[in-house]
Amino acid sequence: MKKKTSNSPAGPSGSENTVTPASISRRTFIKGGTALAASTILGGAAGAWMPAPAAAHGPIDIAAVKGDDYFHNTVKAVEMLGGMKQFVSKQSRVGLLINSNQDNPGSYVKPEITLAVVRMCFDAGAREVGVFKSLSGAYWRRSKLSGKFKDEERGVRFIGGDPTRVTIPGGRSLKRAEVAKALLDCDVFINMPIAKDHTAVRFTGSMKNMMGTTTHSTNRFFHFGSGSSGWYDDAEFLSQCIADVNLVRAPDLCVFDGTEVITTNGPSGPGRLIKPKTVFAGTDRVAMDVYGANLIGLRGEEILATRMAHEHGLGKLDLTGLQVHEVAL
Amino acid sequence: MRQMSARGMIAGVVLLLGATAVAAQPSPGDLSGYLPAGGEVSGWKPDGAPQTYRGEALFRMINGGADIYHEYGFNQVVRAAYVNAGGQSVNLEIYQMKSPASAYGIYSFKAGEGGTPLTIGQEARLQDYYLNFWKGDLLVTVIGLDSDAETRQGVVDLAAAVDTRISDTGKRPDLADRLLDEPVGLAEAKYVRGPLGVMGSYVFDTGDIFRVREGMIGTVDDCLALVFRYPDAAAGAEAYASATARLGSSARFTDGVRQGNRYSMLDRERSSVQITQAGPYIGIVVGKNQGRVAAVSERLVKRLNSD
Repeated sequence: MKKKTSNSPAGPSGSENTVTPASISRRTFIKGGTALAASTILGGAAGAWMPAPAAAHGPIDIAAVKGDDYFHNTVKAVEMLGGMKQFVSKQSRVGLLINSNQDNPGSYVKPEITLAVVRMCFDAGAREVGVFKSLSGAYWRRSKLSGKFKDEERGVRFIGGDPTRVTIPGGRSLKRAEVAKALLDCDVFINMPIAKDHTAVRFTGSMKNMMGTTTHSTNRFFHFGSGSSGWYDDAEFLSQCIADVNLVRAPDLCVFDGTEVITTNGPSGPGRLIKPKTVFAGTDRVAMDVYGANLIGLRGEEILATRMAHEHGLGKLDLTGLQVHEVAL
Repeated sequence: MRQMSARGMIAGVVLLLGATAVAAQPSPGDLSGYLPAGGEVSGWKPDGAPQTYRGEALFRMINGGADIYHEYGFNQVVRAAYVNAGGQSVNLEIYQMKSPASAYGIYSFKAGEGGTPLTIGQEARLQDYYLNFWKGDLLVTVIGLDSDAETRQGVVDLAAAVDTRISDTGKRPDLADRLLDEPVGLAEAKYVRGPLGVMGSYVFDTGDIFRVREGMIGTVDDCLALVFRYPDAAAGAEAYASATARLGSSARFTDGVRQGNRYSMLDRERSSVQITQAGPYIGIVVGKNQGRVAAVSERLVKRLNSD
């Protein structure tokens, strides 16, 4: 594989960590890579707002992998960050926040991406892999890989119940919240959103996905806490609550689905479907949201929750100084 | 993906109509009666029991996506899955809205731009993998979970089968009729009933500064045109005054100039924005070419004043 930049310290990890489905060998996977510029890789809606990636110095901030095999894209993106062992140590308990509760095309994280992350977590030595949203049999059956990864499907358990109260001293609109206790208890927290349209807040990414860890009553406060009469009458208050709840816990890793996504009628669709075929991973959740917004033709700074999260100091809004490495497989 | 020709689809639909013309009419309020039975659509059979969601329970079906339906006026929905022998799946959703205007509105919002028009229901439009039509107070959405030709044909056939079971038709809102026809000729139009419907087209502010309760949005020439209707001229004037005052202090816009009932400004993309209050209406035109914006705005206002 040719890398876009030359001095990345975080190349593919050793073969003992490799996660590959039986159908494609690791050798084929690596040889299949071809570096492309961002505008070429992403094309379509992405072109207008995509900043030029920085020259290669220091660790990778965002690893983006484009290709038809979404399982492999996921593995490669995490490997570019140093491999899952960088994030998951032996005997650790991992919590996955997967945007999986819709079923129209382009509205949910592909099962192939989930399978790849689960497999990598177990291979890294995780004792337990839990999900904050339960994954139904129908979810797994949307993937042609489903039958090949029955252990992974059975291996995840639901950890989204058992709410606990937290205080958020730095919160501007949200001072207290009820979140799944596992959010605080898990050793490793991996946020797995899909970069898609949202009719009301324009974009659903890692910030918005955190509402998947909160209870219904807390979510109602997001929508009605300012006294508004409609679910989305006060987008500013809602966005501030989203930014505030992200103060509760930072993800150790974000793995984003940018493969097939809706750019209208979100978050549930059906809507206009674009296929950037890209999985991207990183640890700066604000930068990841900006990258995801770019992917569907939006500017990160125009997404209120993203901007407010940046104001909280949760990450970078400007990608131009970051190490954004993009490859095509 | 193999594309299906419009002629092929229509032929399939005609055959299907003949086969299902005797389908029984459902009783009022029972949406499940609109669902095609097993064997009614060749190659497709129901997969599991249909689910019905009423009122606020819609949030259980489409968490995060329900509010736009409530903005238009939602009563209930029935959702059913169909499968074929190849294991492909189609989801069928029938939404009963509060009125034909509500059904037309949510249809116009969801159908989006482009697609293939089909003679199913009222204004059926087939996109890559899904189809929407409205009829009476119903919106019918049929979604293929794959985009292959067989699934697309299933989407069309299931939609046609539902159409034969719906007897009532509805009338578009008069605001739509007024703006869709010449001289305005609004294209890619959607009828909105609140701020959520506006947000996806243009963002003036994070709040509902125009207090939108009814409007039309679409394109005229290369301009975006928005028309909001208020109960009377006084309400229109009040909304105009408060919205333009807010826009005048917004960091999103510059070069604001007020001339009586007309306000012009530039947005961040240096597009020209012209806002005009005309009786109970506010007309807004956005475009890169200032001359065309002015010309379209003039046509729009002339039409709105022609009552």
